[in-house]
Amino acid sequence: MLVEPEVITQARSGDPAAFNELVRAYRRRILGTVFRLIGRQEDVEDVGQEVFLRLYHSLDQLRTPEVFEPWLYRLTVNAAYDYLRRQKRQPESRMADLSEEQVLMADAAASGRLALEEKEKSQIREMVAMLLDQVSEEDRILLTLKEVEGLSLKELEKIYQVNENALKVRLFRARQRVIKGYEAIQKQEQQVK
Amino acid sequence: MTPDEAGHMREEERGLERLWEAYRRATPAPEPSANFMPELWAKIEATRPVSWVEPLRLLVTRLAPLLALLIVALGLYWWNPRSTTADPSYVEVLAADLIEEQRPALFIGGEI
Repeated sequence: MLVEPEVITQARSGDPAAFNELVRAYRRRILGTVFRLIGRQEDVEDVGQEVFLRLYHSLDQLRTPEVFEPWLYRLTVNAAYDYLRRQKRQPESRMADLSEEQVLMADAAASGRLALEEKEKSQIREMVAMLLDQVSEEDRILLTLKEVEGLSLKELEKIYQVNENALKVRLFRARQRVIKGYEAIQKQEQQVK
Repeated sequence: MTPDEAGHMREEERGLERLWEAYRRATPAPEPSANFMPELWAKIEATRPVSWVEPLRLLVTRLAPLLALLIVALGLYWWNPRSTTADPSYVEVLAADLIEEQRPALFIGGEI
């Protein structure tokens, strides 16, 4: 844990200084997780604040400080899930939705202001976003937590509060779908070459 | 699944593993902005219930068990059959004795 259990206990009893300490200790980790779950840097801070807002209002329901981290992860997953669902209702333009001319303009602007490395990162994020679009929001989050965040099945079990076998089945199916998508992208790339 | 297909699948899986790894590197934890904490507290304040609602809620939740206890205690008090012949006090016993002592005299007096 990034803080002493006493800090969590104090924050739970309504101490604003302890709550601040808690947020400062976990915010970077949570922002990183949110970034990987939603894939859009411009909205990361907003979703991250939503996580801590939910934490503030639900902290009194926390049984013991020991379960704080899975609890915080669950809040993060829920906030990211709500965000992804909102995004689905109001789709925003992605590279794949833009015309060729718009893509060229975006590329030009990107190369102007970003280094080559940053451009590559952006392409990777775009590719992963395309792959994760093949699965539901629930599976997208589950896959990201497992494959990118590197959480173990035991940790996922605590977050989702379901048994390991159910998680394994769900992960297997989601992974298969993503592999198919990956295969299709690879084929497209080979055809272009 | 033929050995060729299985080999192909493993290759795809390895490719995907590399992609997840690259994605991890491409999505480093962003540095929170200077406004992170003030904005968070503004959101907390905005979602807090109206100032008088919370003390009222606390009062009700704390008073409710006390009220319940009081009702139970009153119920038990009324339900217990009370003795109709309460123990007489010392003064009452004394007064009764005096009356008893005076009764023959009164009777005698009555005869007179």
